[in-house]
Amino acid sequence: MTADELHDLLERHAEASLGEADAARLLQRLREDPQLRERAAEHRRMRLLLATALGRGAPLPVAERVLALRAAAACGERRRFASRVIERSGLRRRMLWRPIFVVAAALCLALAGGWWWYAAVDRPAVRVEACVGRVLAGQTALRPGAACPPGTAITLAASERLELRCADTSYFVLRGPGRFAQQWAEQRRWQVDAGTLEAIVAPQAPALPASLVTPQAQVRVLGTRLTVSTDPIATRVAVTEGRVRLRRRPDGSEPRIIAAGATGLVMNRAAASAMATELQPHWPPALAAWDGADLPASWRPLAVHAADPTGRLVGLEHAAPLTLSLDDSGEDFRIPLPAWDAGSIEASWDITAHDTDRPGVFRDGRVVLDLADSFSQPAGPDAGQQESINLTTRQTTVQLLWQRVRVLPTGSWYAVRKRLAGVDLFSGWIFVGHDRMAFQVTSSKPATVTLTDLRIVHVDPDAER
Amino acid sequence: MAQRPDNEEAVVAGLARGDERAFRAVINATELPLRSYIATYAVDLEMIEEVLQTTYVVCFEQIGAYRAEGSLLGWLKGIARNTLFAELRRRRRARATPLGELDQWFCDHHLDRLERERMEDESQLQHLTRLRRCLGQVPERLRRLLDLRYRHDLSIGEIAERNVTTRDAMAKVLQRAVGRLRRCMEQEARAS
Repeated sequence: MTADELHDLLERHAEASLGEADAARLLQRLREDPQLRERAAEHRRMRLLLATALGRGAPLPVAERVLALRAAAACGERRRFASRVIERSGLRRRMLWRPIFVVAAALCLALAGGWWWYAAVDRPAVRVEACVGRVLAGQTALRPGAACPPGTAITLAASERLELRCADTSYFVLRGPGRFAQQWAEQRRWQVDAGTLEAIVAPQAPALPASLVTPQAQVRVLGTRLTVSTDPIATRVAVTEGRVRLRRRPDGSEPRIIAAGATGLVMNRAAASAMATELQPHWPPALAAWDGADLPASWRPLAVHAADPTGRLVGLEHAAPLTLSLDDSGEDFRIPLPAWDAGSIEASWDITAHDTDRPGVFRDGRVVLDLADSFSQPAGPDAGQQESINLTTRQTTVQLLWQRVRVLPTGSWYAVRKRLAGVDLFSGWIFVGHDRMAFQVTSSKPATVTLTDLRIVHVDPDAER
Repeated sequence: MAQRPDNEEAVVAGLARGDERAFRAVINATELPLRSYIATYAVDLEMIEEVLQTTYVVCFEQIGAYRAEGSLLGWLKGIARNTLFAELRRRRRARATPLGELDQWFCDHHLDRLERERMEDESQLQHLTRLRRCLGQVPERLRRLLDLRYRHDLSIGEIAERNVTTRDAMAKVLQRAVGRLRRCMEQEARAS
């Protein structure tokens, strides 16, 4: 058997594509030939060394796994595979909390009657605290100190702002351009057709909770501080304190609880409507995108295969938007995003194609998500099917959800979370607009997030027809 | 020579107290050579992770049994060796299909090598360091192909398809790349 044949058989065996007959033949030769045995063992050793050296290993560093095991062992857990242990110990903790929840629920019920009575008492209308610009409620211009009439549409132009204070100390800031309406006599229900509404909501009676309604979503305020912004495409709800219950309209899909530090997103036609991005407050989000600006000195596109790539990669800044012009064909970028200083978590995006029907207009694209151990959640229309993969043959046993999104139409957001053992390690958002694409990533722990194999290939629409 | 934790005595004392920082210091100093050692005898990546994890768990639990006559790395290597024995034997029993028979053969072969190996032989501890240095010398395109094959675990056929070539041609390119790395590692070993 030549070296080439041996290599080929061993590689096929590693790919699990070696037939039984070939496997038996290889085994026979290995038994007969000691030299071949050494070569085969060396081949496997090199495979493992290469995989290890190139960074293919367990998703969590060994130190984290062992420390998690140690903590779990203190709870009497079995030691094999940290991820399993974390999941199981999480379940056990929840069981311990159950009696506390029962007591809390009983207390809530007892208080509900009191709150109901409190809320039923008539209160003065919402008053204008401050006003920037000429803000109209119907045909009347609002002034500081004036009552804000219920049921009237409030219209704000760009850069206009209206601040409202309620009798129960709730505070609302409305920012234009936008259109808002108070639907009840008090602040409890707001209609937000467009614009941004920041709310600090005082505790509400459970029977009469404050809520905000946008064209895409219904936001029931369970907590205190949040920002709702809406436009014709989506509603975004960022919760600073407390929590809200977010439900998609008009189909009233299963509501999501959005906790403090998280953002919920509801799209017009999105199958999955909201995504919670659990963030540590001290890690700022990084926003990477592209436009025609010059590339900063510290950034350079890697592995550009196209002969004439005109879209220029401009780099990454923390919390600062950048855009990539997509007005020409055929780039293949490798883009490292050194968002944080250490770690080994990686995201790999492979955008394989997009069509253009006019020069300079990005119409839609195709995204193949290539995260080996990730949970992804599409926020755009035409999301692909979802399948569940149990990677028992990998280094750790983690139940994963895998989703491939085939088409990402213009004006849509795509959200992805990387999870391990129920913990969000990082989350990313990708936005495809008419003339730009943006990728945003946030992380719940220090990590170097690497965006690799971002490939944008022009497809001639005429050739496709 | 394998890296040793700074101030090994203090680190061992910290470990005995259950100090997390001491534990991380030990892992920082020993993970690479230990991985390298384990990869020499393991049959797959899962085994590497399992053995490495168990080694550190045992280290955590039995640090009181450590005597400072040898190095901490040597002690960890001994734990890893015993764990490898146990894991290879467990795997050997688990195979049944003809394809599994080949894996069983690998387990036997590695068990045999592990028994013959001298504990004081430290050459296996340096494989990964050498390989990383050699990978740094590989051209970007080849490195990318190696990445796809050994890191992202794409089949040779899939890589060939991406690069618009045949499977056989891609297999040869990868085989040559691995051969080149092996020669580079041998040179590094001789030089050291």
